[in-house]
Amino acid sequence: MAQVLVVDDTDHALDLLGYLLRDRGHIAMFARNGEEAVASALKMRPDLILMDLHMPLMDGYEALAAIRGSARNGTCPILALTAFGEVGERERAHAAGFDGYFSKQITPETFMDQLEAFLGGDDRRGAP
Amino acid sequence: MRALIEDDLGNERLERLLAGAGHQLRTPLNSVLGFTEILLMGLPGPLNEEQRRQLRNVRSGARLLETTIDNLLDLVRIESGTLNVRLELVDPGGAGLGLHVSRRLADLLGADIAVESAPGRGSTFSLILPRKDR
Repeated sequence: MAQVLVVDDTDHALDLLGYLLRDRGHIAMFARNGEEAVASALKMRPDLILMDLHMPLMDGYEALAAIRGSARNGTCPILALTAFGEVGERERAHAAGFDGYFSKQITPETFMDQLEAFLGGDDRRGAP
Repeated sequence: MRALIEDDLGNERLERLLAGAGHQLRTPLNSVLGFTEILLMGLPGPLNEEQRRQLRNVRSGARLLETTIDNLLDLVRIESGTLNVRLELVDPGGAGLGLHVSRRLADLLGADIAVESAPGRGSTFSLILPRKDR
């Protein structure tokens, strides 16, 4: 069981990802823009962050830099979530320091397996 | 769209417009596909066989629409000549993706792709295009 912070400015994306996370026994926390994400990351100290790149107020790149810059969340895996058709976005996300990249065009059956690979084989998983 | 393309619209502007249109079309479709899948997985609760059958119909319709949107956007790129720019950008992302895109575009053109490959020697990719007889 892990605490996962999902950052996206659309209700549907949060709802969908929340369902998938809870189905695997994880705790889903939500933020709607980069500013909220930075505040939640510092306060809640999630095990993993899934972050949209294009959001109002503060985008995913700025939020990543702010979270990485804080001592408390320096090592938490942060994965980019991006919309269809952004040519070169994957390369930009990796260059910016995201640990992984998911298209929002997810396949629900396989998405969680791919995401859980980033949680590693630590003792949080399978714990009561 | 044809008028738009011939109206001195730069490739960069057209590419931005296509990316925007793709995003606007795909975002609601991602909701349709995503929530249909969640219902079919039974996450909100169990379904009876008739409900499952109808949801599979929703899913196959949405997937068809997804393919149609992708093909339409690719066709506009082919028509406008922004296609080459796009392929160059996609290719460094991985040979698998580049080949997948090429394959789809070849299908759109009624063409075929042939591959000859030897270990340690490299690969030759050939695009076989149908000739248009007038």
